[in-house]
Amino acid sequence: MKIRLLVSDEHYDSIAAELIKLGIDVDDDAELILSEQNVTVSHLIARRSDEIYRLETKDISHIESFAHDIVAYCGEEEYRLSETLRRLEEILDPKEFIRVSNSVIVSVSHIKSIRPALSQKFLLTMKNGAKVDVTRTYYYIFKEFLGI
Amino acid sequence: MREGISIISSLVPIVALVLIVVVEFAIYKAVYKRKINKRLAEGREADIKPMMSPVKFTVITLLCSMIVLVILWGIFAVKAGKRQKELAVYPSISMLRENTIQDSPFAGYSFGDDINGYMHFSEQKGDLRLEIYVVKSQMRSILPPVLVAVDYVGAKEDILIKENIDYGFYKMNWQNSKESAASLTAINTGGYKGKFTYSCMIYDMAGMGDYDPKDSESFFNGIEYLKETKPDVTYELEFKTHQSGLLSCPQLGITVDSWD
Repeated sequence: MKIRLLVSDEHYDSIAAELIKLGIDVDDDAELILSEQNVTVSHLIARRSDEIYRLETKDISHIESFAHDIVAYCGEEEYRLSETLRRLEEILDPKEFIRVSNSVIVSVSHIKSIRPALSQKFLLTMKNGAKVDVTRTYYYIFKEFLGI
Repeated sequence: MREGISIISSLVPIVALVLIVVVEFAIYKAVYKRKINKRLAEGREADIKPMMSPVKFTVITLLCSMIVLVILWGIFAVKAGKRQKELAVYPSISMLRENTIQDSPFAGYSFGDDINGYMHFSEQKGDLRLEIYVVKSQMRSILPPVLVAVDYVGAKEDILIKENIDYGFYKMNWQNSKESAASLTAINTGGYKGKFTYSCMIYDMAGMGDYDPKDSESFFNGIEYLKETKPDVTYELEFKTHQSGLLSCPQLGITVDSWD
């Protein structure tokens, strides 16, 4: 049996050791996840082509959902994630990541500029050149988040 | 020409309002964008006060501008109305008698004649005959709006003809004996716009005793007598001067299509 751990760094080693004692393998590629409440992760496991990567959340510009695919953008590169957007919203640092539409979560520190649109929307330009819309549903949430 | 001026005077404030809104929206949006990005650069803990969105600001500006424009318009309209009232010519009458009518545009007039430029109405009530002339619309800026000629056709001797115009805020009345009645009375409404009533009354002065209109004492006694006596005949006409300057009188069948 394999389990993936989404827990704080300070608890990771002790929990991993306990699981191994019980004969449960800790694998970042596992489908089953054991997570700690109110803990934000500092890295995510992602795939590109057939390879598995460990992405530092501080390097992620934004995460976008395309039907069944969840894609994380780090600079010019794209990586596939296995978590859902809702799940990512829970585990990523809420001070750094914010959901701006039904299909996009952005990292605030990777926003290059914000342009207000006519209707209740913002147009974000990310540092990697990508353009993301803050939709009407998330307009006030985003405004409040930034304090504008 | 009047319609052209009023269209322009309506368009100017609307265009001004639109320009104000467009300019302020552009300026506010630029400031808003700058502030947002400054906030982004300095972080969430930076001491920058939130601003309302450009759309909300525009709606509020639009409402405030409209209120200000309405207030300004009201002030100017009142001032213009006051000035118009001050400049307006006050209503008056002119009595054209035998010795003066020949030196007027109505020279040669005899009771019952048609007068060029006027609609002619003949009315009779009891022994009172009136020839009423109402100016035609194309002549209203040139000729007096109403002319009246009065005649008593009864048998009584001591008759006083009293005429009266009531503008509401201002009244005029005058009286003449049968012999001294004017050939034609010109009623000039001046700058007045609204309703007024013309009345003509016949009084039998025989009940007064020795009434001699040429004698001043008898004349003033007559005034007192009139206050206590009912007229034999009273004839009234209601007129209205519209904002356009046209005159209507339903009793004479003169109507005007007007919004006022």
